[in-house]
Amino acid sequence: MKEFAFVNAPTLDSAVALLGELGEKAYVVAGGTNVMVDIRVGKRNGRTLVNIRDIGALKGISLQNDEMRVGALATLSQIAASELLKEKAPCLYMAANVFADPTTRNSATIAGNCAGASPAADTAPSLLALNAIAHIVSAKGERQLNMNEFFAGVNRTHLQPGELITHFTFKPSKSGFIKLGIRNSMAISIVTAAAALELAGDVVTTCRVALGSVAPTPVRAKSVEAALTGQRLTEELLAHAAERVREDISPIDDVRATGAYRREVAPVCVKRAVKLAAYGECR
Amino acid sequence: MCDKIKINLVVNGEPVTFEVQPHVSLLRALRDNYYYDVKCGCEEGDCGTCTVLLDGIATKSCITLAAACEGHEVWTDKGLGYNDALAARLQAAFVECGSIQCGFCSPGMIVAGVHYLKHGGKADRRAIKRSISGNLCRCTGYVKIVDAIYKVAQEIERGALA
Amino acid sequence: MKKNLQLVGTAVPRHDAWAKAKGEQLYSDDFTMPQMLYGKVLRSKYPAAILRGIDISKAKALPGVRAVLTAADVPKNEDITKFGQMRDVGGGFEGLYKVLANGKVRSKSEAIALVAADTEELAEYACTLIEVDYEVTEGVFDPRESIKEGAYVVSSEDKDNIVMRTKVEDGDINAAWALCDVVVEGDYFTTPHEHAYIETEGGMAWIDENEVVTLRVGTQVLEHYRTMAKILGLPHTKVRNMSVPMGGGFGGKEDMTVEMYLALLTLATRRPVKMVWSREESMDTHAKRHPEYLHYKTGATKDGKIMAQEVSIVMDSGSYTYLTPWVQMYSTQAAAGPYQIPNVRVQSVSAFTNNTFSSANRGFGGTQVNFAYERQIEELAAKLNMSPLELRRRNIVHNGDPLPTGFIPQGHIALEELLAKVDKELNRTPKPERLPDGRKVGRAIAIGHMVYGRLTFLHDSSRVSLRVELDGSVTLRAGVPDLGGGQASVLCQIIAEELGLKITDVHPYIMDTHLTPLCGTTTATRQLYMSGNATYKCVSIMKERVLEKASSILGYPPDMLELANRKVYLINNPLVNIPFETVIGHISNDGGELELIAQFNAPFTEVPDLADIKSRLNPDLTYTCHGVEVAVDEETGQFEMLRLIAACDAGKMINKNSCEGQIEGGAVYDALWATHEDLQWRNGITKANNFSTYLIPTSVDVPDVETIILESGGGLGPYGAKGVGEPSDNSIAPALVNAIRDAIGTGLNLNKMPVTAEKILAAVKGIDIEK
Repeated sequence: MKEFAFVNAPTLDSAVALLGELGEKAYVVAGGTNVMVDIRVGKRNGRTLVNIRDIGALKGISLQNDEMRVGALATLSQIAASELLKEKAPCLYMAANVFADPTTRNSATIAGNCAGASPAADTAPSLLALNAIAHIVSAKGERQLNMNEFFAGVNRTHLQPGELITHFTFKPSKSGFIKLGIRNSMAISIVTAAAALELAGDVVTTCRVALGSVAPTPVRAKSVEAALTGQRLTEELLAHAAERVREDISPIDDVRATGAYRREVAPVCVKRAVKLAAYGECR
Repeated sequence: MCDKIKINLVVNGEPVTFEVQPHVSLLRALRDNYYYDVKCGCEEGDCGTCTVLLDGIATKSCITLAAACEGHEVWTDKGLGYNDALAARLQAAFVECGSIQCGFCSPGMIVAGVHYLKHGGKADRRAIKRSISGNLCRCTGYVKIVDAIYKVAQEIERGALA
Repeated sequence: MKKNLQLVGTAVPRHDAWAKAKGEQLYSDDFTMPQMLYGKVLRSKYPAAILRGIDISKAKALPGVRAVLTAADVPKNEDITKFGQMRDVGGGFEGLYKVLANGKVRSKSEAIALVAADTEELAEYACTLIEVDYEVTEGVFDPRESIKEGAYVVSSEDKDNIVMRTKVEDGDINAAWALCDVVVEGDYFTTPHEHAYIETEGGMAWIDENEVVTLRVGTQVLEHYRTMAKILGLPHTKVRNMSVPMGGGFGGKEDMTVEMYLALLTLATRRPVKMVWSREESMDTHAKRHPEYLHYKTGATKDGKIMAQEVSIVMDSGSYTYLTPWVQMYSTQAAAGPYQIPNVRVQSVSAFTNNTFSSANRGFGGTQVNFAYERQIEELAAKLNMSPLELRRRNIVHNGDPLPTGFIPQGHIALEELLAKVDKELNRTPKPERLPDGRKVGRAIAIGHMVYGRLTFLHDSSRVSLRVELDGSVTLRAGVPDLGGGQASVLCQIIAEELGLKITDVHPYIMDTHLTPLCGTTTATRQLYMSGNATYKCVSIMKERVLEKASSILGYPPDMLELANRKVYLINNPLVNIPFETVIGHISNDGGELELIAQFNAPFTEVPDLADIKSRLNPDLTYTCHGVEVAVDEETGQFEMLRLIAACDAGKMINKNSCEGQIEGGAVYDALWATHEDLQWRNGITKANNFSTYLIPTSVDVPDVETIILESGGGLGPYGAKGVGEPSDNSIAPALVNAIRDAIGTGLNLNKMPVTAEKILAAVKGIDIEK
């Protein structure tokens, strides 16, 4: 039998106080798209649901001092419709546009997508590639966590009890994102890849590539990055570098695809994500 | 079993109070209070037949926490049809275009269509298809559903609909 | 028959469309009663086990639990499976129907116990308190294994797993191979297909004031009330289903679903009981399209005349018999496809396994063989170096050609026209090698034939009743289960047409086992054919009566009069007329009969000899043709369907929207069967048992279906109509897979479903992974 309690947190202060009091008993709900499924299948029974849906301070997408700020409660629909993100962080914009379906995107939030820590979370590879910072608050104070250090395992993060993500920040970057799903809508990813680049002419000066659904957590493709950095971006180099992604991933068989298939197509996704980042198109 | 809590919200223009368990979905809360036009197909957000407008935004009620809707406004297909000219027109277009077979996806589909049209959606088949891609239909192959939304979008563009 | 049809053929809105659009339509899950309880079924934990004992004491002791039932509580726990047929055909056609498990547990879908409690959550919790003592056994999950001697026997009641063996043979197959210049051979597999109606199974039951066990359950087969009465030990008059429209059926609501459980629980508690299955319970539990393992060998002369085809089919019946023998007859009869092949042998066997049981699914045995024979034709064409279109043209059946059973269909065969139209439409522009984005383009066409109307040896019939009201409106009473295809609305349209009324002048009261005449099942693409004909017969009698009365008033012979616009008028001078309502008033004043019932009977035949079927099995067939254009991504193996053309000879459209809706919907229903829709059965467990894992097409996964409807007038239904509901989902799956083949230039890995992106990618790389 299900034994949940419910509290509403109308403001950030009240949320921090409630989370501090409840500690491990708290289960934060924003859009509800992950939480409701968990509740239905019997996960996390006995927790107190802390509703943060209406906290205005956690909303909004803005550019401040050449830094993007995306509120924890920014919905995937807002991200998918943001002209600002389309220009400043195309990979995140693209990821939002292929996330689940338009109606689910109306509810789902970026922080919820990350806090759920699904290996297939569609926004995660982009946040890794953007080197985004998660801004976290708790009764003890504020802290920052690079998204590259955020995920701990399948459905596990380095968020501590009592902590709440308030927003993400990152520098604008040329970037691209590719999702391979079985269906064109409402599909959980088989492989996703995000790439963020800086180019000097056609030489790659900085490059970050990240993938989803190919390991217990979203992962950076360090081998690919190493192969690309400092090199002239050519078709041959990219083909060679993309292949090296196999060294960075550990995909498994699941209900959506085999690990072998993921291994086959991961380089293709990497190649296309890098091309999207560099040229705005992938073919 | 956990104690029930009371939530106050506005459904189809009327203030209501629901007594619900803390963890139930908006879908369950609505159906337990006889809003039977909101259908249940999967309870996991994968079929869209439970779609309602929450503060004017198309929302899958099965993956929305009822308790979090305190103070918010919900419209269902039935309520929209009797109170909103555009929604009533879209319902009629569904009838005219043969968009309805078994009808089980229709309320959610119509709400998704209303959201599309009320947020500046154009008479563009690809865009319409994207907008309803969170709503499954197993009967129609979607063609006539898109036809109906397209028809009303055209009427709006022509100024035939306020 | 009327010369100038005014309503038939138009897209007039269906009677039920308004309620459905406005959210007013009530379905099985939309009723509540005072004192209502909630029912739950405890399903087996294992696919194969022996049930040693059940301890219900803890569940029963839980406050708020009102009943816990096991097999011992069911008055007559076993019966034979019946599907509304009025004739006892006996023999191998009727299998065991068991309400609750005892002895061997045959699959995970097996119902072990029933619970009724004050709340749904409590009922669910009570199920977890029932202690079941299972002796887990090995089980068998592949029918090719289960037919072998010494295989694990699935049931406690049988000596082996064989459900049925049958054969159709024509010509001299052994001698025929010598006539062939080219022979192709292949193994095919078709996956179990899930209906995935958006409404899961559910409903409620109560005992009314006259001790009638009353249900509100949507079903394709109202006649299940008879089986229920037998099991409950009640007269047939005391079990009633005031049925409701279904939120989709597609064959999946043809077997009994919640009915028996609800009846038992309401009788045990004497309170109303509601039961609704979750998506997972629905997908784990209800029947699937039979998985089939098929072997095809086809031979042709070098100029493309097919001389010989030998087919063997092994069908997975799953845990029970249900409709397996009937589906098997459809598969066996249709296996050689709509081709005139002089020498054919088709042998088939069906067998139990510990999988979810198989039964009806749109296409009923036709879709599986269709996939295999159309794949085979494509490979034969490749080997002959001939265009697949030309190979089909040289071998399709025409009017007067017999099926391999010897039966010559009476209806029109429009394959020639369908092929020509689809080819013209699909190839209206030259096929590009690739799209600008680099993806390879492929095109293909496939054809199919599918019967409409039930097996003729079942002696099928339908009856409807109509009453002309004194204001000239008409009440139709018909026990026609409406699963969304507009089954009841076309009947209204026929009545309105013949009596010169508006569609809204005719109101249907439908689907009550005891208040509406039984129309028979909404299965086998039979309602328009059967109940349409019954309605036409019924309204024709009424029309004659009206014309006679009008004749006596107007002073012209009846054959000079016609009905339209709510008037009876003189054909040569419509100004001479009398309102319909006035004529009805006269008939009423004179004591004439304004209420009628009429029955239509299908052709009747005897039960065939299963060892060698040589007789008619069905009334007629409908022919389809699908054309598909795809783009294949050679780097990922993923494809996009760019065009989907669906063509069908409907005979005559009664409702344009409903007819197009079937053809569009049918095409999409099976569009991704071969590639995406995989339940992932693994040792009796359904891995993909919800909508996030079992992926049916969304609006952005399929193109707008381009529909081509022929109206040959050559059908056996009213106005020459044919049935289209099931035929419409034939020939799409092979058209898609053959288009993929055309794009990648190889038939590797395309014969066994699911044809995944991984398999396509391997094929592109020349790796055979089906072996």
